Amino acid sequence: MSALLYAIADRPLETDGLGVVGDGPVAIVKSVTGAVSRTPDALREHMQTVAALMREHAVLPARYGTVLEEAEIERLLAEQREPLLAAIERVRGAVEVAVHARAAAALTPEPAPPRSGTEYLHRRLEEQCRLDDLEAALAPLAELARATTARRDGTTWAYLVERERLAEFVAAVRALDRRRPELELVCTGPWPPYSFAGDFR
Amino acid sequence: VSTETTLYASARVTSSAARQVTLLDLIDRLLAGGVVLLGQIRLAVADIDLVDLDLALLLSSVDKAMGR
Repeated sequence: MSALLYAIADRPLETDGLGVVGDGPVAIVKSVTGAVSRTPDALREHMQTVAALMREHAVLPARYGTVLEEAEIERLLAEQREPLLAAIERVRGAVEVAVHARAAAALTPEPAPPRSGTEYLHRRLEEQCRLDDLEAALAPLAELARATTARRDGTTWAYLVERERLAEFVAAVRALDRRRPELELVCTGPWPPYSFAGDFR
Repeated sequence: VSTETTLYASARVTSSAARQVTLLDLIDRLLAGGVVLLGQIRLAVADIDLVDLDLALLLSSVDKAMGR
């Protein structure tokens, strides 16, 4: 039977209306027929289900749209048993927080296209300096996190934060915002640890 | 853990921009993050091109939903 993967947990658990495949690690799945829905509501439902599981268990959230046969899931869980269990330990007790940071100047309209190769290179260099500045500015946040990873175009970072330290982390974002009025910061979460789940190909 | 929460935004950021960023984070995590198990597996979202395509589709539907 085809199943949509929600998350992987280290041991069997109780779920409401979902299937559990394997005996440890286990996959939390829902039977599906046909294509999976691609609406924002379907994505939201998927994440909320994973978030609910996370209240009681350490889980690796699955990328949306992973559909496979239950027998295949069982085989993969067995094959990847040790790395999966290790990945679950890495995220146990922690949530993901996203931080978007950019110079407020980024709000100004797009500059005219560069008139020469030299001008282009100068701009690239300036951009790189700004990114380095951002990394340096965000260093206090990285210190509060168990792990950090950059995402998308150098303006978004993901932090793996102990659940108990979430308030402290948000306070640090607020403090950073006060110290650096030239930055625009947006901090979202807490998310399941999507950016720290690992890749088991 | 909940979904789509803006934990903090600079006063310099409009609330609608913060909401958009938060929704984008939700989509980005689900389609480009998360554990990937690949063997002899059929994936509904199989590779990065498709993920990008889905992201574009979703964002356009979000735009519509927000009346832009």
